[in-house]
Amino acid sequence: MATKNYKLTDNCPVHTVTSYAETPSGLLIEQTTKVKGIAHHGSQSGVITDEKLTDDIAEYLLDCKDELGNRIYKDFIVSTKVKPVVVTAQK
Amino acid sequence: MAISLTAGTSTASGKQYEPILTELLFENKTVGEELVAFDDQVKSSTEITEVSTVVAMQAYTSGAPTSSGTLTSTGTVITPVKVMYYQEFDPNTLRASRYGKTMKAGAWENASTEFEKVVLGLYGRKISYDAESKWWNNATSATQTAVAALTAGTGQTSVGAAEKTYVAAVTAGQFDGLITRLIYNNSAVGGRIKVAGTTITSSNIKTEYDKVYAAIPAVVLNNKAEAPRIYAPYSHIQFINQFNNVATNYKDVFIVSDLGKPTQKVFFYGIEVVFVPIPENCIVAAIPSHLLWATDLASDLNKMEINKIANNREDMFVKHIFSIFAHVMNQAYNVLYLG
Repeated sequence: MATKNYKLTDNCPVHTVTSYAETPSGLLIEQTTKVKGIAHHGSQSGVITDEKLTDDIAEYLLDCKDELGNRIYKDFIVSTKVKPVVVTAQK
Repeated sequence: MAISLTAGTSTASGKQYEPILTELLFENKTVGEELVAFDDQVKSSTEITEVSTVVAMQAYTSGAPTSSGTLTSTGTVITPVKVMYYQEFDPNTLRASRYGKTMKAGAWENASTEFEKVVLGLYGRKISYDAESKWWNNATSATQTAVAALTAGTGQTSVGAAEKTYVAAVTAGQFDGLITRLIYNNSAVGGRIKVAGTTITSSNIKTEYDKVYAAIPAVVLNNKAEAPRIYAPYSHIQFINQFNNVATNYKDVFIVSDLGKPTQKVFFYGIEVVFVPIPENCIVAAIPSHLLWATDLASDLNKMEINKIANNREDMFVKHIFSIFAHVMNQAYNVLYLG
């Protein structure tokens, strides 16, 4: 699996989603769970959770702006890239 | 799942407000108003055939001519996925509630006509809406894995970053919904006309619809047999009305007739805009017959079986069974805007 350079922050909202769960008899039943993430395409289209957050999805979401030009999800996604240490040679 | 009953302080012996307030639900307009094409005789594998030709004019020769052009017929086999909804409940738990009043006299009797009409009626309508929502928005985990492995790009033959985000976000289901099928089908990126989108608001909605309109092939707009439609999420009706209400905007961009009435219709440059449960920041423009809802029998969606779980038991079940599949035809003529 590719290295992930982004993760969701604790500021992310929690959504209620419906999914299928398999019972011991093999029957699929609907269940609702609460998940933290970004529902960019609305609650009808699921949630990007930390597990689903790949680098290209994170970079796309970080580019999304509202009508005032503010980045919508800047408080919800954080980079985990290790910043290079700049070493200045001593004279 | 058992009945979750929270009785008020006034039980069956008291007085109840006559109407029971139910959840508000969107109607399944995709089925009810036939906003897409339906094929309801698809029991199992059925071939959908698409035909295209290329003609090539060439210089006349009195000798042996050279064959040029193509005659192409492509078959795609589809099989609707059989799904069910099933829930068990014990009607005896309703005896002490308002529903007890509509049970026949006698200890054997515990079926409430009011409960069946109101609660199970709502349950049936909710299944219908759920089926509609999943027909538009759904993806199997296999498709999600395949799309996640693709490299995002802006080109027509690449999956877009917004498209990858959408497919990843959808809760995995039993079949691929229509939007997913536009993005990825037959193990390849879909042939849709891709329009890069953005976050749609009441301010930019006209600009973004213009991008969709401009991307619709002229042959689709000039098709006399069947007019194209614009499919938009429910939120757009608010944005459209807000846009139309700004005095400085050209008022006739979105034509709204019968505003606020059940018969309300919206048109953009003469194309009808219909509102369905698709993702936010998403618009589809297509001829309705290109978007196929395949099923075994259309009325299956309305059929609900309620019965005792077993002859020696009093608890009951409610079950729905139907088959469903989303298929996109003539992919190269359908516009998908996603932001």
